[in-house]
Amino acid sequence: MKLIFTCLIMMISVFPQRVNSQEIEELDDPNEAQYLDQLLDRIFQTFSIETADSLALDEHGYSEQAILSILEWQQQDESVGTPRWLRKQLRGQDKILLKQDLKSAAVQTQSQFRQRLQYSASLKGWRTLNKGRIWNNQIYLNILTEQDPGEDRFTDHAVMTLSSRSVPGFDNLILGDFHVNWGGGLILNQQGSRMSLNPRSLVRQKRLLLRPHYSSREVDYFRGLAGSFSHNNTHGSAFISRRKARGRWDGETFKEDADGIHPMAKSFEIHTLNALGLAVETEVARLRLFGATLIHPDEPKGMEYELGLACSPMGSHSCQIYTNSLDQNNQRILFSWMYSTKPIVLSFQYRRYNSIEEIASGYVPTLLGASAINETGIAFRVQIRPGKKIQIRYALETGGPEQFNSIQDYRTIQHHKAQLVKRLEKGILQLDLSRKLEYPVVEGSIWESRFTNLKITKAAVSLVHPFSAHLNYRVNLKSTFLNRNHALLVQQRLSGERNTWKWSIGYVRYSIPTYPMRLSVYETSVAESFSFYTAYDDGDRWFIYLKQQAHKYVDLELKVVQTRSFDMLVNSKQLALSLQMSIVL
Amino acid sequence: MIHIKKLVCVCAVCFILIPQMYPVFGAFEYRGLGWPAAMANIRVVGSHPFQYALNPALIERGLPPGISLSYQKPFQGLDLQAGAISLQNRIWQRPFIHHLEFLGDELYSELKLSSGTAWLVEKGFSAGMMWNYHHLSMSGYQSEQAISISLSSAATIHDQVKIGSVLENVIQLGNELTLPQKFHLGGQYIVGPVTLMLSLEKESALPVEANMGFLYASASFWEAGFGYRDLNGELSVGWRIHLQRIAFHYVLVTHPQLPVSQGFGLEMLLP
Repeated sequence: MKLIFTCLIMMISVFPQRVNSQEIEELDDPNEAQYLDQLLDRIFQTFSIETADSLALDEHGYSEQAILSILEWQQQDESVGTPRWLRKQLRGQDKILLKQDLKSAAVQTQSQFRQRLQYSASLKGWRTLNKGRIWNNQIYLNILTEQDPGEDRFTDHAVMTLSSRSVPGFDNLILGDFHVNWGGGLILNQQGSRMSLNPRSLVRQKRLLLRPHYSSREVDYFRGLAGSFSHNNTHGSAFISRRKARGRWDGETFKEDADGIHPMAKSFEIHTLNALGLAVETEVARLRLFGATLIHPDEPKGMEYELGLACSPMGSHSCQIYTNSLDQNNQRILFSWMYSTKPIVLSFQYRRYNSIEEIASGYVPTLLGASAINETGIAFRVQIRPGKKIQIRYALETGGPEQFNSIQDYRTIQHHKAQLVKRLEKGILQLDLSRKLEYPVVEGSIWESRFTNLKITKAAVSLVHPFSAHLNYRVNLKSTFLNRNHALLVQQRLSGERNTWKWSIGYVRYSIPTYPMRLSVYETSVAESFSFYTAYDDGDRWFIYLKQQAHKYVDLELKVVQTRSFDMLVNSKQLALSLQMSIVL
Repeated sequence: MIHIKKLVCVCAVCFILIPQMYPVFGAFEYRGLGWPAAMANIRVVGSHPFQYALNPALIERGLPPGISLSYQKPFQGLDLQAGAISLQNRIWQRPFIHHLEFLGDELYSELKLSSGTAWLVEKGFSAGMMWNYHHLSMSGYQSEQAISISLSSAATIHDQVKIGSVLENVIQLGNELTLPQKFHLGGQYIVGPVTLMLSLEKESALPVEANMGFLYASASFWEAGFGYRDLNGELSVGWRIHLQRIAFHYVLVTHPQLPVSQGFGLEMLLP
């Protein structure tokens, strides 16, 4: 089986294919926080083609040649550098992207409203979500309400935020619900902080970020007033927050209900989370000094702080160091270094969390999991581009206990990942391989002088092929090997669009003997939602997604999914539905 | 004496096969011994009428009408007989494949009649659908019938690379006789005269089966095939001779525990 699978990989690798970054990450484990981060970036990190630098243009998706043309256009005076001139310079996908950017720049006031109804057997009822955004060049207003099955109020989760980048004295001012991404993330729960195979993910880019909250996630956000400001080489942001949270007390610690489902029959305790925060970063010579403080007036921890230093001694090198304490016996330290050139990017991170609190409280990058008390480890990434159409990545993660408190805490993990992405004439081929070695120590092992270990090997192949501008095909093959068992998952997706219709169909067949060997796949879903499925039995699943522009301003979307388990004799089939209506003005 | 020997052989076959099969789906597990059997019986990709009978999406545009016959002797030494007839034609410019398959002896018989067609969704991508009628009869029991639908697709990624998939018996009409649902995914890669085929097959309650087939097609008139099925360790080999409008083939399949199986075939292109 292994031999044949290897042959299959080799056979497909002879003819590999083009994808965007979202598609490339499909073979990795799904990460909703990462998706939300991307969504908020897209919505709230305003992109202006007139002012974007080469990095922003690259991240936005323009090709190298297009970036040169856009930079040249930005420097021209208005009589020569017309949008028409720029349109003539660009071709293919760049031209389509430019058309969208110019269109969104030209519109003065825009608004979007979405209403979503979702049903699935696991939810045991209907979930409703309403969201709306209205914005212009000066101000941004977003509203969201959500009601899960069993909840009594239409606004069980409600968000309303007003933000502006035009208030004098402020770079950004937010009133309402918001997220804060500061420094190395050692004292604040941060969205999208999981490290990917990209070497740049080890180095923090968003050190003083404030963004409106705009998702159905009911934890990890603030409610109040926040603002960011700049003065010469000094940038800063500050906030004041007071939010009522539902959850339970675990001793002296309040744990917020994580899934956000609050049925009438279940009682929760309400606790007001008060917080104040201030972060400042200033540039001295080539050094960036960072300092942040958080005050929790009602909590035993009271005040927390984080200090950081970032530098770029040479253009291609950069390094960062963050710590949340100067006390060596109770401290989190994160050190990152990156070397970046066009053909090669290298990065390294060392982390040491020697703390008396659970690691999850800060949501710092960790390998041992949220329940670990302390951890030390390294992360290493390399990315090589030997040619224009090929990219190779390798990642290593290690993690182990910093202190030996109890036998249950003693676990060490080593995780190797390798990835090959090859662009074809049409489409993209991607191969991923990973091997995770975990050495948990259990009491019996010590007395018997033998050590248990868990070795999980994963291999995945993905092929994306556009048959035409209207039809795209994707096949994902994923497998897991654990001891003598193997698991396999095959997913095929076909998507297309014609006239006012967009559609996508997918089928996945999987055979997974045990839960530790579980495999996940992404699925097309209604706009501004994240959809994946994790399989851990013998079964199959299909979905149909349809979108129709029913009117100039109205889009209707429908997604139907059926999951079938061959292991279950009763309730083997489960149906799920999503309906969404969007009004885009 | 001969009767006792035969009975012993049949019992041996049953003892080996039954643990590998889900009991409900004991019937209709016979894969046939047509020309694809030489390449590990991979039928989800390829360009033979017996492959079209599983995956009609593979039918190429402009394929002339033809008929293929096959006489098969599964598990030599048992009195089992098997055979298949396949007919490809066009109706209003749409390609169709009709297939009849039989397996049995004087006490037991399986008959499958299928008919399918293909749609070209976009250049390089086709979808196919087969209607299948299954008939099972056993001496002393009432015969049973079932109708099912299979769905398939074929994607030509490159001149040399093709990917096919089939959901066999995905929809079944009537609950009288339960048919095995099977998922096939396969790829073929053509390099010069050699075609390499790989496929994965998954049936509920059975492990994933991985198969590998090679086909060498000489520039003149002969072809040779070789295949290996991972799950039951079957090895297969065969040859095919094709003249202008007529072709012959022979297939030999060996099983680690069971007697060898053989198949002979005749294919004709109709005027």
